[in-house]
Amino acid sequence: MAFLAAKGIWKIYADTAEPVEVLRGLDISIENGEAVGIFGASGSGKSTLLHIIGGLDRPTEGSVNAAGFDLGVLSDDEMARFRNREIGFVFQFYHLLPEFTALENVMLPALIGGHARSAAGKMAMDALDAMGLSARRDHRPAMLSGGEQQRVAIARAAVQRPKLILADEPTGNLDRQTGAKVWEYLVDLNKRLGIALIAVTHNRELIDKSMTAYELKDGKLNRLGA
Amino acid sequence: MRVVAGAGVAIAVAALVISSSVGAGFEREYEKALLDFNSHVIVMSGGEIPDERAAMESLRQFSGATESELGLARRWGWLDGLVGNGSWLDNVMPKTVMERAAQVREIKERQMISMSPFLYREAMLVGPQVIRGVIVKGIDPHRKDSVGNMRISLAGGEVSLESALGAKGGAIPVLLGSAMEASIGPLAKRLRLVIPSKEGQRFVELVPVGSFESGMHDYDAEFMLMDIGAARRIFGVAERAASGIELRLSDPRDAGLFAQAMEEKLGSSFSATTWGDLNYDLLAAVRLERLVSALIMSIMLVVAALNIIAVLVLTAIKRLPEIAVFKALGLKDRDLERVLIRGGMNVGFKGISVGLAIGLLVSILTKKLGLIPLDAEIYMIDSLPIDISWMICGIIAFFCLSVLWLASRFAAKRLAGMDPAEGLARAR
Repeated sequence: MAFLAAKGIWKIYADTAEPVEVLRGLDISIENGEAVGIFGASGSGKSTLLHIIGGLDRPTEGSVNAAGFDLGVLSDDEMARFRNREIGFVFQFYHLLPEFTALENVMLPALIGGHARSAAGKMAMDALDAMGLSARRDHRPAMLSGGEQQRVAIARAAVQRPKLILADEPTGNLDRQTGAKVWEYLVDLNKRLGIALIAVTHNRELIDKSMTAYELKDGKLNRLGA
Repeated sequence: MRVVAGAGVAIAVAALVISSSVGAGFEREYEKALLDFNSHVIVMSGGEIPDERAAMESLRQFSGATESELGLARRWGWLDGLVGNGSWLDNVMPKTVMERAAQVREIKERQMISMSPFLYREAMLVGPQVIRGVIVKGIDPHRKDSVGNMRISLAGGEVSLESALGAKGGAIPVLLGSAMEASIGPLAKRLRLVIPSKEGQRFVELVPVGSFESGMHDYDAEFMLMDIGAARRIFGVAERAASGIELRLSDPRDAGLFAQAMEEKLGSSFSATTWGDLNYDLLAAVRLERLVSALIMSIMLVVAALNIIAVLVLTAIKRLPEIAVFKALGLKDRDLERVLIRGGMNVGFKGISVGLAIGLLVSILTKKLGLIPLDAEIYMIDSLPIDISWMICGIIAFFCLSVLWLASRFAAKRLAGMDPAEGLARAR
């Protein structure tokens, strides 16, 4: 059985004068540990798709089953628990909390998940270590470069070893070289720890041959290179 | 922004504390002054009481409660208003409670501690530079409590009220109200009372032997006291007649209940009026003023609480992406609510603490230093009265915390329920 199966996903924003159909009956299915790259132009609905898969948003129509949960029937509390345990998010603008150090930012999901502070600290140190950032543990986000901030964000997404990491334009705010390096870290997480990965980007070059590649166009996913 | 919101709460709380203290101060001062001058219950009989001794004999049944009985009535006094008045509570209360309430009521009906006859008459006072109307109150100086708790100043050489008001040759010794004394000059001046009579008018020589101060300017300006025997003589009243009998109780707050029980037992031959009935207008006005000022200040506090909502909402809107990230990381709505409520309460708690401190400081300084003088002819007291009640401060703090908690909860619930996808989209 697929780890994630989204079927017939429609997302229509009806609060505008003319309803906008962002996703139009989209289907996607991925297996445990699979890496998926989704390419699409700006405004094609990539972020919306990730939010729906990650339980941050609900589809207008369609069903999402992930890690054995039918997201359509989960309560808000159950959805929050699902996001905390099963999903790791990486955002284009990192979204680190400015008042917290790198270590504290990475500890957050573990603390929210109910881990003791000491255990959360150890998990966060391991995750930062894997990103090559243990020396930067006490630095606040403002003292880190863009690439470093995104690596801290990746460590935060991976700290509880979720089953799936959703990366929304993780390199979109970085220069080409730094972006490529950050992408490598993400792919490495997938390969080394077997965490499934869905990464969306508007840079087609980043999606390598080891990933299942899709293009999001007209509200539907088209398999690339199939 | 938070400082401004906190300052709003602090100002509202300080205003509430100060206005409550001033309101309570006025009420206490007026009550004290009224009780110093007035007795707690006045018993009258249609027109004049023809025989004061017979009247007092029949009133004696309302005295006799012992100290230990009065102590018990004080401890359990709250039961009296609660049960035994025919309400539904009477049916559900255990028998022992009902018996205790009945016992308290019975003790309270015997709580009279003293009685004293009095005679009121109006006359004209004439002095070297004064002609004015006065109210003459004849009292029995031999009786305890005949002058209540008024401050009495006797002229040099006088050692007691009895001797001061005792016969002084031809002139009638009188005690003048302090404000009257101040307006007509030194005590040594001889005064005359002009009394209307069938033959026209009679002049009676007076000799001031001291003064009294009740704390109420009106009383102190209009009344003079003399021996009731002398008053009867000069006004041509029968030997044992009196305007009424003044009663003092162990607890003046029970006057209403006491008067009611007394009228029920004595029938229509006597009527009882309480100190509260006599001064109903003044007390009602003071209580209304206190209530209205508390209401207005509470509205101020609600406005301050709305500021806290505004601050919470603005802060949250500014930090919407971070709230969205917290939700993305799996923070539950109710945990987020708790964090936001804590933020609001933190601002509110600091505001309340500072407000209480400012309110108490201003109240204490005003009280100790008498910072705000009043015109006694208008307000009847000479400086702004302050009565600081820790219980009222506690109620204010509790009320403020409740309002702020509600405000914070309202804001937090709205914010925690926002769509995380929208928050993330705003960060772009």
